[in-house]
Amino acid sequence: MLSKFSSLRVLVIDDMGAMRSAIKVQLAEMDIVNVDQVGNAEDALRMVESRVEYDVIFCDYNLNRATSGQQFLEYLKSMDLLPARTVFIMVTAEAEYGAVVSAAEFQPDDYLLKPFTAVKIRSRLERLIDKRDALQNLLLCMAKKDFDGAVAESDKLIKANSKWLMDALRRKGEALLRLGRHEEAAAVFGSALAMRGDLGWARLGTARAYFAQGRLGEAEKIANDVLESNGAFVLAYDLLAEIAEDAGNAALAIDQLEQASTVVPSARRFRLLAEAAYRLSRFDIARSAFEFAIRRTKGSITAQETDYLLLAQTHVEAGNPKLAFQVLEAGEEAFGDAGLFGRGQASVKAQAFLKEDNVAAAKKMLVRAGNLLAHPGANLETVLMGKALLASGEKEEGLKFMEEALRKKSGIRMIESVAKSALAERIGGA
Amino acid sequence: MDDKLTAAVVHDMKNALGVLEGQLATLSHTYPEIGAPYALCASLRQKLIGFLTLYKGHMVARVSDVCPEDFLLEARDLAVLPQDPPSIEVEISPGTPLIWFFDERLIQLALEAAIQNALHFAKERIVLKARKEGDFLVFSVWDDGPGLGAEKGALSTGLGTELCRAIAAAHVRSGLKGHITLENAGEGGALFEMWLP
Repeated sequence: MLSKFSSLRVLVIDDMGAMRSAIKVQLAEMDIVNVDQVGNAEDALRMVESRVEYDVIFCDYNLNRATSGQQFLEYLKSMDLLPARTVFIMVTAEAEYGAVVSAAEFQPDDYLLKPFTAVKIRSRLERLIDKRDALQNLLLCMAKKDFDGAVAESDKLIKANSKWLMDALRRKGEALLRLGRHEEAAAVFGSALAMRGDLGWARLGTARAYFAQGRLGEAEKIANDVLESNGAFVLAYDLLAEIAEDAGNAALAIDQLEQASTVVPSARRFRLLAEAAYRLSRFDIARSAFEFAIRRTKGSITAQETDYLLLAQTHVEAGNPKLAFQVLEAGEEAFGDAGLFGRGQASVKAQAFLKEDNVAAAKKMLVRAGNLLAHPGANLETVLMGKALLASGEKEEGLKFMEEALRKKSGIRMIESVAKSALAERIGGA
Repeated sequence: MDDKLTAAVVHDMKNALGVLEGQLATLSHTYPEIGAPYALCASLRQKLIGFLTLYKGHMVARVSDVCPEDFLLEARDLAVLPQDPPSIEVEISPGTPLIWFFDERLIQLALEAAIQNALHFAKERIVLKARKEGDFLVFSVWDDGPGLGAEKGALSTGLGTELCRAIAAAHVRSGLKGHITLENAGEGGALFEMWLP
């Protein structure tokens, strides 16, 4: 008879062929034969994008290439490429476990410590698949951003008082925050805290709810308390930075994000720091943080064109058009002149030409940017276009782009905040 | 020898044992007589992990919600058994909560040490139990062996007990601290308990 695992589709990612084979043999002992194996994150990404959804991914933390297992997981999660039903298991060496866990902003479903036996894999999979099946509807709603559905699904689990109660409370709180039902969210996080007062996610969820209600002092106090008990809880730094940024305290906002990037020195962390520094016109910090993010992801699937565009934009606004051109050249080499990068770079180049007093070239670039950007929306290209138009004196047109970027409430701080401050300047200047 | 070097040496030994353990595990599928050396190798490596965990000093418990029953069932399944092993039963007392909060990896390390010890002395039975006791969840490991003070084979170094004590103590909640007890059970045999707030 085949085991209940036999229908599972599994992907094994490890740079060591021997390790891949060992896992494959162990899986075969459990009748799992539908196993793909790859040696690096790039190939893994191709598999994830091209194949039917995997049930389980075993990914080695240390892939010895441009992209580590952790970066790969972060990439999948931030790009919404990881299906809700896929169980992601990070494989690490015993010795690196402590460091891996405390520096992991995006948590896998589980960690598997090497060396492990077939028995260990089996018992882990039993529990993880059991959990996945129980939470399936809830996770699907969250993935589809159907937050009303997620609240309803969480309620079912909460009512059943299952062993997944905490998962249900956590998701319900997150969904309520996304729905703008902040008071209810605070109550849900509160009920989790009544069971265990030191749960970081529940304390921070409460702080988020307070922040959204304008109860800044309380939100700030909780976030600070969370950090005092666990300095690696970087999401608390994010909240503190947002509170400081909204209060106009640029130095404090940047300080918080710098601390977070020390705790978790990931490209994403430096990107968040760089973006905040740019918004707050701390161009020197923005520059070095963007440069770090670019260096960190160079040659990896996790490289992002927005890093190049924003670094170039930072150079333009700091008065260094030459450096901006250099960055854009490097960006074009990595991403080509099509897509987001192509659309964005025309607008940045237009501004760089203006800084060099080359009005004719700037005009030409602006026309090109306009042709490429058929549908302005809540995205970076639209904001950059708005900036280019404003810089070239086409105020009304530029502000229209900024309004367009704000129309669909994207919740993306980088876009909303830049657009808002451009519009605020108009009011201030009028 | 300085601390870093000690840790590095033990670490290398542990890794080498890991490789050996893997090979013995594979061999033991075909040759049952390899079962005993495999179990010995696994338990040695476990001891070194315990040593390193203790040696690093300050222990931080990363607490999350865990189902005690699932946890004990897994601990039972993961035990590396000697030849002619005693039976290992799992009992969940009425009133035990469906979830409790603790560092699963650390507590697993501690229980593994306790189970290994029980396997050493048990005649026919080992019972793993979970129960609620006031503000604590109590995991216990009972064996039907000769009880405390008995010597069998090599003398214990006390490492296992020290490790369990440190792991329990790393679990703290509103003024309550985890702790362990080790005593002779009323019905005979040795009883190890881990109290988690």
